[in-house]
Amino acid sequence: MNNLKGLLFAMVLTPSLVLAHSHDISTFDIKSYVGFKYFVSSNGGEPIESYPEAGMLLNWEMTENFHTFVQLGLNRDGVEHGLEHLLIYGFTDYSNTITNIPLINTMPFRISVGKLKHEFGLYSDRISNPTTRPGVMPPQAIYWNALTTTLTSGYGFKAEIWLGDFNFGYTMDKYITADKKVESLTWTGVDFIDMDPTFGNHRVINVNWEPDEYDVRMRSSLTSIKLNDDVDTIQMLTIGVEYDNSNWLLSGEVLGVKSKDLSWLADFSDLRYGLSGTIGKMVMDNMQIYFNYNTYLNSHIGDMPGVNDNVTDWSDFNIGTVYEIGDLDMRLEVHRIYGGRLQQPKDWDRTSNSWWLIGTSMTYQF
Amino acid sequence: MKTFIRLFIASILMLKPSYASDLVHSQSLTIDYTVSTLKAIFTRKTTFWDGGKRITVFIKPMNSIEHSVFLTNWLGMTKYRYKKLLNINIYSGRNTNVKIVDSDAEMLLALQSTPFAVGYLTDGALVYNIDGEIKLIVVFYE
Repeated sequence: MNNLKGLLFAMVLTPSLVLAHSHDISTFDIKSYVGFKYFVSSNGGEPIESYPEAGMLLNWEMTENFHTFVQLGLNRDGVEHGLEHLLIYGFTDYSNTITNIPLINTMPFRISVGKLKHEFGLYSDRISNPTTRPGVMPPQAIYWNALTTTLTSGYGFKAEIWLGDFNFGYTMDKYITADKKVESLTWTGVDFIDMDPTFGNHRVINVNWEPDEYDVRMRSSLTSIKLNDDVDTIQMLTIGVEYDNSNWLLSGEVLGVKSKDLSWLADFSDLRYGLSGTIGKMVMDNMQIYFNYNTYLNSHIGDMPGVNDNVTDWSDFNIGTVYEIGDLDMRLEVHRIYGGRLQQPKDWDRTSNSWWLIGTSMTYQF
Repeated sequence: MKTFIRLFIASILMLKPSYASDLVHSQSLTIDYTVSTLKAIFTRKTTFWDGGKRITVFIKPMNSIEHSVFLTNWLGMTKYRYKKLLNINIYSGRNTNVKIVDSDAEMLLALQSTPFAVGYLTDGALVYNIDGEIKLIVVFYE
């Protein structure tokens, strides 16, 4: 796999040294951003998730059918856990269309190899970029910050087909761990699981419906993660629906997590789930306000020794705004949170019934 | 913005300043398109024509008046909305970016040399290349 990473870097970074203008009519394109994200909370401790963000998207059309996408990003994982995490994703894909198929006429398909973005929820493929992610901090009931890299990227392959407005995908890869201790704490609330990713222990099946005719889309995914040989496989099911037009944004998402009995229809005793709903309104051409409520409920972990309900069941009501001036993107978000283990896995036993969190970000694109 | 627009496509090998009047007399093909289809094409959500050929999209600079006029008249959206949708498709690693040209002359040159590309001119006409031949599209709202 290291050879694959080296090949991708060699293929993409070499031409980037001589082509640096995104307006050129060429097969190579670069987009960049730089910014900062800052959080302050009312329950003491260090600010949560405050760090500079800078990134570059390299986009190379090698032939009509072969493309390479690389996004480099300086974020929390890159700062704290090493240079590997500077590569947010980097893959080469082959895409084409099969024509003259009875009933459906055409069927586009794509095969990708490299460090991939996972299909998880409505927004997993957007949250690494500060200008495309929802809000300042994506709803933590669905998109756990402590697991961002595990949930959103891995080394392997992905195959996709499109049938009309439906997109079907299958991904098999080796997931990424940012910090094994943090990952384990986030999963279980206690520090005893050693995550040992190998190729094939992360798989995703996704079915999306994204029609051109309407401003509605629906995404669903079933993710299977095997932590190591001694631990049960964990499965995560997401279903999300979004309506997003020029004025309104309405979205709802559900996350279900199972680890004991992986039969989704037979046994719900160990089911943990997250819910998130958002209403947004464009109040000006370049300004949106939004309200989000997300909650995570855990019926299983609360029974474990040393873990209490305050840190396993939690909810977050937040109000925010996004304002753009030219290429500058500014955001402000105010949260009222009950519980919150998932947001501070290192301090999961620091319980506080309810607390405030204010987040802000500023990003410049060029 | 009306949901459906009828597009009359005229085949012309070279565009002249008076192309609009030429079109009336040289229509060779009529098809139905929707605003949503054009939105999908220009925001890079859709990157293949129905026949399976890859679409290359040329636009004027993001902050130019021509671009804003095009977005308003054809796609019914602001430049902020367009940038958001484009960034979503680009930064998610799904599709390649649009290409930017500064003038109508550059636009025509680029389209002429790029099979199956689409772009637009200052006065709002859609232009695209099919099999090396430049086509002009004039829109009539129903």
